[in-house]
Amino acid sequence: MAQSTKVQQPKPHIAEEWVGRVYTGICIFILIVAIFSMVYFVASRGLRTFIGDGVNPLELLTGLKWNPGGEPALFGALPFIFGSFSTSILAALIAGPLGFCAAVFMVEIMPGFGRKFLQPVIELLAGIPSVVYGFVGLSVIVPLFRDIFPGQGIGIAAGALVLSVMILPTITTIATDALAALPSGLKEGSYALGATRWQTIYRIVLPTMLPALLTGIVLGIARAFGEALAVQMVIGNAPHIPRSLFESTSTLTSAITQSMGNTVMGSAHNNALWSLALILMLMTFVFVFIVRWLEGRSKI
Amino acid sequence: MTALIEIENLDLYYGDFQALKSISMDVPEKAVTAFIGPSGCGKSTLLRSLNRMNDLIAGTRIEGSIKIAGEEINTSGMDVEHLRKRVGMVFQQPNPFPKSIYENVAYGPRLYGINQRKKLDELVEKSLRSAALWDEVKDHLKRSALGISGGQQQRLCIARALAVNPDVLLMDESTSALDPISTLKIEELVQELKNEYTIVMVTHNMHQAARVSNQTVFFLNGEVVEYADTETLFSTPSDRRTEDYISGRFG
Ligand SMILES: Nc1ncnc2c1ncn2[C@@H]1O[C@H](COP(=O)(O)OP(=O)(O)OP(=O)(O)O)[C@@H](O)[C@H]1O
Ligand SMILES: [Mg+2]
Repeated sequence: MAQSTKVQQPKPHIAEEWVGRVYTGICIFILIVAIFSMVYFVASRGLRTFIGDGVNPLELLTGLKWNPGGEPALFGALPFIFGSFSTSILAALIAGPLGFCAAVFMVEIMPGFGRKFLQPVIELLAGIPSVVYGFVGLSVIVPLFRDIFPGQGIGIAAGALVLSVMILPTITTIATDALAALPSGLKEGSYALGATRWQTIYRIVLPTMLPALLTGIVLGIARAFGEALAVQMVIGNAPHIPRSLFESTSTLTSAITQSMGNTVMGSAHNNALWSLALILMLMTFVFVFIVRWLEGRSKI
Repeated sequence: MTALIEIENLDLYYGDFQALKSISMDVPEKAVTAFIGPSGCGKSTLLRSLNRMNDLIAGTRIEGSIKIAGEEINTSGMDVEHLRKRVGMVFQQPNPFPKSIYENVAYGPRLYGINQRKKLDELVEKSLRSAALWDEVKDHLKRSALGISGGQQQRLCIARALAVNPDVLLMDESTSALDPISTLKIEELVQELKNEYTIVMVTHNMHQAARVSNQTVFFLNGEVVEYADTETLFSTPSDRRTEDYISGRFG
């Protein structure tokens, strides 16, 4: 649009500018309201356990027995917290090295095949619904573990394995992007000193992209932490800390989905489930902060 | 002067494109040889053939012979890593590793299994001194190499290359990204280094070639047009095209 020469003329570009500003302003406002009301809702419900029902927060975090609807009511959520952390961290320990290797393979070793075939396949994994993962886990992994290891096959190991496949795309994609973004001069510099390909990968590529790789791993853990359905299907859902990786246990998410339909809104049991949700939400915040911190460090 | 590098009938193809056409020349030991010529004439390609960095580019094919100290390097049995240890390279853009200054220099020695602190300390100091950088960085060797100036980074890259004790140092337009003062420092450094190392440098700066080198090779379209003592080549070029190029009539 041409600039108006006379001051008196209408200025359509200014109107356009304002339409844009108002529009984005409204969108931001809606977004912020949605986020805050969500946080407020979860927090107000979750805190009722402590304020209304008089449960000690420490009991929730460290207690070993969970039976909020029982007599006496018990609010020990440590088994769930333990289950969530152990499955998601174990999943990251499996998927982290796999994702890194997949990225190295796709970028360094066989870019053609990797980019054209392997990458789409791995990205496809991200689009598979979690119920399918749970189903496959239940019909393949659980029977397999039952045959090989003592126990029923359900438990942390099965949950972690299913989760590791689910978070593999996140880690691989972030690692691949970080690897492809490395300045090529870096690798050349290493080769020119007589380093082999693997020396270069271990000594230059891995340390340089480590913050990005960790970002991917933390995002993966965050996703695994929040995953409910697939885990619930293979973990057994017993409310106690297991003595082995192949014994029935629960996570925060599976504990919520397991009993949310059976509780009355406002009851102590229902409030206790909201407290579990609050823990999940706070953990998500922690993960986001870790990712932010890592990203701040990954500037080359 | 004895020839350290002997190139004979060297052809190099990037896929179907022939970038070097039957190059034959000798590079004398402990002297500076400059490659000049217009952009795209194959200077970098030939330089990268000398430490087989072209191996890293898919689709390159090379024919002919390159002998370094009498040993043929274009064989499949060649230990390429060992070759690159003997033939160091400094790139156009300074490319220090995102590590400390110390670790940058120690990187090469560590690759070859030198891990004792004392040995490494010695090597790092010696290399940084040879690269005329020691006095500027000796008090903060632990600092990130990315935090020093471009000219210092380039000298760090030279120190890094010297730390593995090469015979040859290849420099591909290694001053073109630097300011005049840093450029001058590196030119002075090259004058020092040629007493101990065989240096091959690519430059677009005719004055630099004239100032620094003993021999100059003029390339055009993948061929050597003229190869002579620097003084001779710049004062009385025997080929018309050389004369046109150095007098700035093309390129
Ligand atoms: N990786 C590659 N794949 C295909 N062709 C290439 C590749 N690298 C260089 N070439 C071609 O080979 C020829 C020589 O390139 P080279 O980089 O050796 O030139 P140069 O003399 O170093 O040029 P400059 O002065 O611009 O650095 C050019 O025509 C270039 O386009
Ligand atoms: Mg070049």
